[in-house]
Amino acid sequence: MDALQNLIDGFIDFEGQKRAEQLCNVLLVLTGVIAYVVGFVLQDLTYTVYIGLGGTALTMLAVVPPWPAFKKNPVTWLPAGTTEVEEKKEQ
Amino acid sequence: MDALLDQLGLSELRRLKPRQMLAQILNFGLILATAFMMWKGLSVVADSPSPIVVVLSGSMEPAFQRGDLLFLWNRNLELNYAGPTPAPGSTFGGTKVGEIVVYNVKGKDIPIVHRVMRRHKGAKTPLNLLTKGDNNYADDTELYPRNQFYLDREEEVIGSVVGYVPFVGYVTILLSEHPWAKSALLGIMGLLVILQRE
Amino acid sequence: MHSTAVRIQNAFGFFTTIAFFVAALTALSTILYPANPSASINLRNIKVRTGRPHYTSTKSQEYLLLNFDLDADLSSLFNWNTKQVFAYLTVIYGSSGTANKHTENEMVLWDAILPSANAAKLHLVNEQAKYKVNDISGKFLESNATLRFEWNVQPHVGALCWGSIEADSEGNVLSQAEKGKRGKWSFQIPPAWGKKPATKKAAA
Repeated sequence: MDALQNLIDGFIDFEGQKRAEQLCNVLLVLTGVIAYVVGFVLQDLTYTVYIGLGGTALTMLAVVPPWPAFKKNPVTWLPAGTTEVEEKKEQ
Repeated sequence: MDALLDQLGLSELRRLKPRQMLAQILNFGLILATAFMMWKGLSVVADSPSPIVVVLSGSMEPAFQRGDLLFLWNRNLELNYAGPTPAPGSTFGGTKVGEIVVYNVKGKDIPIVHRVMRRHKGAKTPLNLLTKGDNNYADDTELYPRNQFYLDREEEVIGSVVGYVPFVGYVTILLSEHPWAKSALLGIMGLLVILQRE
Repeated sequence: MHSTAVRIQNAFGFFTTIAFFVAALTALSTILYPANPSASINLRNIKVRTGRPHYTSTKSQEYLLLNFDLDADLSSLFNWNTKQVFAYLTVIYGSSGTANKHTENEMVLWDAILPSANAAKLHLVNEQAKYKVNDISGKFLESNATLRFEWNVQPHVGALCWGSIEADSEGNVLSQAEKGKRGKWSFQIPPAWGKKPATKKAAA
């Protein structure tokens, strides 16, 4: 059950989030530019539509699933119970 | 207040923060109001009760398919006329033959998008138009009410098409023609809210 | 971008923004393609007959029947953003009806959908008018009429536009790309078959 929850959540660490966002923006803008230029030069709108949709599908595939490449910098938490504040409270 | 909640076992409700919820509702209301203002503003600029319509039937194929979005203009400034200036002495202004108009037959609420085939104008008569869909064999006389053979430009026509975007309106057609789609959509959204850990 | 759902939402949102910009630029690119269509018409046979709109109707109306030749080249209107061109032939005439009830009348006699640049080179000989038209009042008053050849360019995305080639009352074509290609664009509507002309002037 936990594994299913992890699958649906798809959490990635902060460094991975930054990379995913940059990748998403770059890929989509590139798709748009290439789709427009190819269609304009070849004077056929079908190229624009297909390149655009294909590029978007590729971007979704690259960015949406939580690939291991996005989980390479996990946050290292300190071990529990090692702060002075806790000791003072116990007093 | 807190003691009452504890007694009822509803102490979790303290986390709801009523002021925050009201702020959210206000935010939501602002967004709705802005969208409504923009729609009505466009209505006023285009002088049409419904300046953006979705094509519902296939009677104008291959030009318009079901689900296409049309932008209407009801002021007839002839913005898109790219031909030579009309012959001197000609007074042809306003809706011309060949324009695509959207009209509601009196009494019915379905907007019909067809092309103007005939136009008759007189000094004291209203501007009369006869329309026909490109994909139809016969003109629209059968769609008009009994004993009415021409449309009145002022009363029944809500605008003439000036712009076009394909496919974007198909979602509204799906939602209105398959009522189960609305419940399915709400069900999926509810499921996602439960499953997400937030 | 921390969970799958948020990533899907963000990616889809940005996709719609990009799609909007591509569509807007495509629509604007139509300006880069100025077109010069040309057309010439020759009228062959003009008749006015009386008839009834249906078998069962008792109303009798006058119908205008025409044959014409058409030579047109609309292929310069096609660019990557053109979905189809709708070409049509209109007849324009002045007064009709009792006491000149209607002073401006236009009716479409013939139309065609041109889906590609190849189909846009029209060469019709002795073509019969597709629509047998009747006046709104039922009678043509033998007014002077002209033909106007018009077209409507339907884009894949963006603004629709219209254009036309017409002649003045003497039949001189206005702003024709190729001078010297003048056919017969104007005529006087004849009296209904079997009826005497209303005026003593000879038909133009």
